[in-house]
Amino acid sequence: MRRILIMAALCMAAATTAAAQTQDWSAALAAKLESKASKTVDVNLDQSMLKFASSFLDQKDPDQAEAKRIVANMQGIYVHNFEFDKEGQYTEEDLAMLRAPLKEPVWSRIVNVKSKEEGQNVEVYFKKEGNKFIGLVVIATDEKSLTFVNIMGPIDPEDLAKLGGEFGIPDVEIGTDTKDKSKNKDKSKDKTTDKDDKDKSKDKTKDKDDDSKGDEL
Amino acid sequence: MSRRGIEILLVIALAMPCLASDREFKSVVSAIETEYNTKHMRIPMLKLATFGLHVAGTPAPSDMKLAVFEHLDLPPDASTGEIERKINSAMGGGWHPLVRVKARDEGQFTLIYANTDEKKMKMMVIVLQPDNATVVQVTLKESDVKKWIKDPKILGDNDRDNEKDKD
Repeated sequence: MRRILIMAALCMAAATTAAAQTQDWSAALAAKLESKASKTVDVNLDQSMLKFASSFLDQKDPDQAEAKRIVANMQGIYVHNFEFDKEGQYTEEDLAMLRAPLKEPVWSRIVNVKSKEEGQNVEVYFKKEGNKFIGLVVIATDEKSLTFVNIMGPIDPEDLAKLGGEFGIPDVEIGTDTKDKSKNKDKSKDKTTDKDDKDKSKDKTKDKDDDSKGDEL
Repeated sequence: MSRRGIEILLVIALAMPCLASDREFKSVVSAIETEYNTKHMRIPMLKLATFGLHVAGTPAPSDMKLAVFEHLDLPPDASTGEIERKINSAMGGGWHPLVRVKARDEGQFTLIYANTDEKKMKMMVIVLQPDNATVVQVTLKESDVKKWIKDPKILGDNDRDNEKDKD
């Protein structure tokens, strides 16, 4: 009986920690951003919802089959989107608050694309545990919007682009759009991309990062 | 215990999931009534209408509960903090907050909760607007869920519908 109680207590503690992790950096800032935003959208898909949702994905459809494979081990997908009426409604300080928990060595910023012309910035962070990636955060901003995506669970960097457009995740294309390279060549002058990762992930995402210089985000 | 007693207990046990899912719907309706000092409108023959849709072969939820509140006369910038807290506490275990949309300019606040079991999904959509509010609970079929998976925001964001209307 005692053993069962200890197990139950451990499960509850783990569940509480997991719940706290999903909210710790977003909730603190959410109220502040929401008070300024003209529109706020939150999408929360926890593990049970993902499991249920993925059961409806069509195995015959290649895209859906791929999404099903990717979400199989995920613990949650949380999307927070804020839209503003005018520019300057969120500050660098707000972004710094979002980035604050995403520190080395646990987190690595793998992609950081800035487009001066379009005013769009995308930062992608991966959480590492040994050689595995066990979490991902995307911070996408433009002049009038801010989107924060938190994906919990094991994920391959290459799978990020494949999940775009599914489960409410913005369609972030990182080096996968080769349709109109010439059109994007000029734009690439205004974009800067940096690669912060120092290990295996660097090799894995190198090609994507290089390509992304000329791609739409 | 008599056979009749066992039968009654069995019926109650089988009805418990239905009663439980009703309880949350009623609690949310009650929370809105208390918060805004209003009463919901009765929609006559809603079940018959839903049944009619099924007979006609039109895609429709397998079960639907609806409560409509009119003439709320709330200021567009009315705080939603208190009602959100009450709604959250009204939702029992098994219901997950799925989508939350707050559109300041329209004064619209939408909450979507989901409750899943093996092959069905129950969803409760709560929409608060300055002049009216709606609470809908539907049990969705597989095909409806597939559409929703493609774009979860579709249920909480009616901008797309408005754009279509303009066209």
